[in-house]
Amino acid sequence: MKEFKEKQELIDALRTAISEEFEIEEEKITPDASIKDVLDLDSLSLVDLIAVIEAQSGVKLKGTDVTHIITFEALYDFIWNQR
Amino acid sequence: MEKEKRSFSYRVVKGYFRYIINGLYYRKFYSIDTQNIPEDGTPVLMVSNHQFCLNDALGVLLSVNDRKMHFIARANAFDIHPLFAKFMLWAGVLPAFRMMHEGEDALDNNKNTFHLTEQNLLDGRSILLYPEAGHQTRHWLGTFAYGYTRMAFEAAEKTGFEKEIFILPSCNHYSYYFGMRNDMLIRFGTPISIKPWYELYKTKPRTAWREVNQLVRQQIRSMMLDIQDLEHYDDIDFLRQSQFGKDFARSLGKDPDVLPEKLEADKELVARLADKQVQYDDVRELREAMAAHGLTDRQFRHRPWPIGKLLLLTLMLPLAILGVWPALPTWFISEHFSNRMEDRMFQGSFLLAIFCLVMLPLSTLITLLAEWPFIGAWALLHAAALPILCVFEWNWFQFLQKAIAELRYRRYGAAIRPLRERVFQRIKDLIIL
Repeated sequence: MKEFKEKQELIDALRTAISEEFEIEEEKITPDASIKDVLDLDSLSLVDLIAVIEAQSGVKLKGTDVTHIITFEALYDFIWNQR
Repeated sequence: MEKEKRSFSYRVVKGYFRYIINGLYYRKFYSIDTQNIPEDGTPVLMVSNHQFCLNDALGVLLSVNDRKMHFIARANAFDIHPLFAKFMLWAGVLPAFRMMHEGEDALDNNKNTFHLTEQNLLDGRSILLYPEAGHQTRHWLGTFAYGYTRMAFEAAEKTGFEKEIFILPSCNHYSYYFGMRNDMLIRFGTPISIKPWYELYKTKPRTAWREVNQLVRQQIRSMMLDIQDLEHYDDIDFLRQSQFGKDFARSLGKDPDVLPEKLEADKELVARLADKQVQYDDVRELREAMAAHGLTDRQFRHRPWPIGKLLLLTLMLPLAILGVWPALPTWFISEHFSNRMEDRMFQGSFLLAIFCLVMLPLSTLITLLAEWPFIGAWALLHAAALPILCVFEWNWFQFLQKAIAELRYRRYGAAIRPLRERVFQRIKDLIIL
């Protein structure tokens, strides 16, 4: 797991990891895009997303945390504040 | 592949359900394109839209006659009662745990359900599940979860991608959700082999899931009534259920009293309404005016004869009194419990479950025990007639409600009729070619 000094570094790393895990183009992961819509999130893929976030940032989220977050920007903010 | 044996008790219970559900509970039950179901011994995941709790699954159960069906159902259905949970497991139902309902910690329990389902598939069983992960309350197709595509591909992976797994899209549809003596329809689509996606799955599993899911979803949508304009859902539903909807079906050469034909006409109606971007303000006004006076479109369709109806009801009263047992306790008990449920879609399933699983067997036993000492074998005849008496009672009360509504129509109908005619003519001018 890498240490991030700048928030943008964390965002870039997360975008790349999420894009690889969910097999979608990075361009689709825009700050104001809906996480649920872009990733087709269901209960099981939510668990996968949490694992990706933990692997990249060291932040262990709960499923209920993520279901209340609508956009990627809000997700990045939440993770950054949790570090 | 060795076929799964069905126990004697399974066959008896299924036969009982067939008699009660096909024969009594529904007015008409349609099972369409059953020839599309792959033969027993083929690994099949049946995937359907989900409208109506238990009723949907029972519809498929009664459409598939040559094998034991397996199901995946929401885990909280197992919490209703321990006896019901045992019955579900015996009937081949496995629980699916969802984060929003059973919580995050419960998700781990799905591993067992996935494992057993994948094993069932590899053993050539047929499994039914509902990827919307919960029933809808409308004629609408919700978002699919990908659990079923995971299971299908993981099962194939366990055989080194040697075994061909099929997904069979199916759809269910009801003439009306609540109460008895409605029509139900189950239609099976074309089986989709996931074998062409095996190579893609090895490197990009989610892309393979998405592509398969898209095909499955397309098939289900093409078979069902999917009213996507949720903002005007009630107005559109009112139009299709009204005389306007019936006339529209006839204009297409369809019989509005035959559910499969009505479904096709409704799909066309919904498509045309969307295409013409119809405004619904006056439809809502009409709907609300009818509701305010306890009327439905039914009273406007035919020449009302409430006095004749009431006379007929009086003539039938002796038989209605005979049917009070066990019909009224059944309705009262199911009403009592189902009124406490937040989800209205559970009420119909609850009524069906109480009627089939509890009240009919119980009342048959009570009738036999209470009457045998006095009338001997005649008690058998009475007990055998109980299901029919229940249906008679239901129809008698429906007829009574119609008579009362027609009395209301005599008082208020004339004031609403011009608005109704205006609205129907406006929509007709817009959408009927």
